[in-house]
Amino acid sequence: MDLKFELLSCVDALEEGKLVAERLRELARAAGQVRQSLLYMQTWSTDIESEVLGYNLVVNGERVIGDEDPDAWPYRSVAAAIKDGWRIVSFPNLALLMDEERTIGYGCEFILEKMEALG
Amino acid sequence: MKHDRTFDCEPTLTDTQVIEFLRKGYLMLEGVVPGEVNRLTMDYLVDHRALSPTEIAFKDWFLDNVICNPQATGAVRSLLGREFHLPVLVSNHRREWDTWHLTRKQEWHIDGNYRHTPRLEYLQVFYYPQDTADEIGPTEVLPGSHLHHQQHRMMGHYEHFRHAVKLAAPAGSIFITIYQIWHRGGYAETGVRQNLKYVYWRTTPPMRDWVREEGFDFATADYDLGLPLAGEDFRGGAKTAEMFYWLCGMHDRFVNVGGQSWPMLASNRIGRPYGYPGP
Repeated sequence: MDLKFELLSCVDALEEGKLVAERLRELARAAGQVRQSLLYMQTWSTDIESEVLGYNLVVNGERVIGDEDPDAWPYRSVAAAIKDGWRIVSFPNLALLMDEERTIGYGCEFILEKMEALG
Repeated sequence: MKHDRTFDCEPTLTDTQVIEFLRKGYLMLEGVVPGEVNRLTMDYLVDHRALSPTEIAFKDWFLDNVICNPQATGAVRSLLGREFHLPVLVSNHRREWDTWHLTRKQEWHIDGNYRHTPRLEYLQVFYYPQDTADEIGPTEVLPGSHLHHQQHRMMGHYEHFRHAVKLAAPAGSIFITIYQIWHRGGYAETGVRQNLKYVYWRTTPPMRDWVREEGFDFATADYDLGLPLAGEDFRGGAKTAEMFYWLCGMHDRFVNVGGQSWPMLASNRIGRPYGYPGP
């Protein structure tokens, strides 16, 4: 559920004299039932504009089997995901990137989250 | 019987093909096993559903046409040298699409007991006895990933990779991999997939006794995969060159000075590359 959209709908309904208390109660319940979505993004560098080399999307605790074609991936960069409301919760672990000969992982990994209301 | 024994044959790969294998981490040989052997294998696997139906290797038709397949062993001989050791275990990654993992595919992983090293002491080999199209979940590999240090435990959150390759291939295909390449059983939409896996080992010191190319030049050979992989610029090429030198039995002579020196890509370079250690 997009809470912002729903609230704006309530404003419209209020202005039209159609808003009822139960609608607001529904929204209040939904706002209290948010779930975390996770977006893992592997990039070449720590630049948030760097090309995405890989990703994984987990919504409400379940992996989303997305399109395997990179041209159809949801975001081309971490920056694009941020502009769509995702929030970085983990920057690439620089301690793992310090020694090229012993680097662990695949590129630079950002982990982002989005809190979304159920509904 | 050839079990617990070594095997020898003529090498088939050239210098350039050896380097390509080291760059990518895998080599696909499509449709090299005869159709009748594929059918016999499929029939055998109907009644032998264990994870490791190793006894299939006691069947002469399997031993001669799969384990000792001429094209496959020619490549293995090129990479592991003469008198390489035959597999001691055959595993079957049998998978019914609707009873597999909830996501209908495997996690990306490196098989256990891996070593990240320039040494090539063993090869992991897969055999498809059936047509293995995208729909039944062929093995996926990430080219060049054998050069990236990683642990299986830290790969569970990976899903899509830009340069991943689905190894869809016709029945009778065999593909040879560097053990530590990142791979997974791909997403399946239907059917039952049979995928046999086994390992060969080196028993002799490395030397350049594969098919030598006339005019092959160690100095100007292309060691770089050419993909925007996840590591530092050009390091993949340097690691591949080091593996190639090790395979040639010249690891003690491998040098990478750094910067614009060998084996960095030759782009409008003046003369021979600086730092080239010689053949």
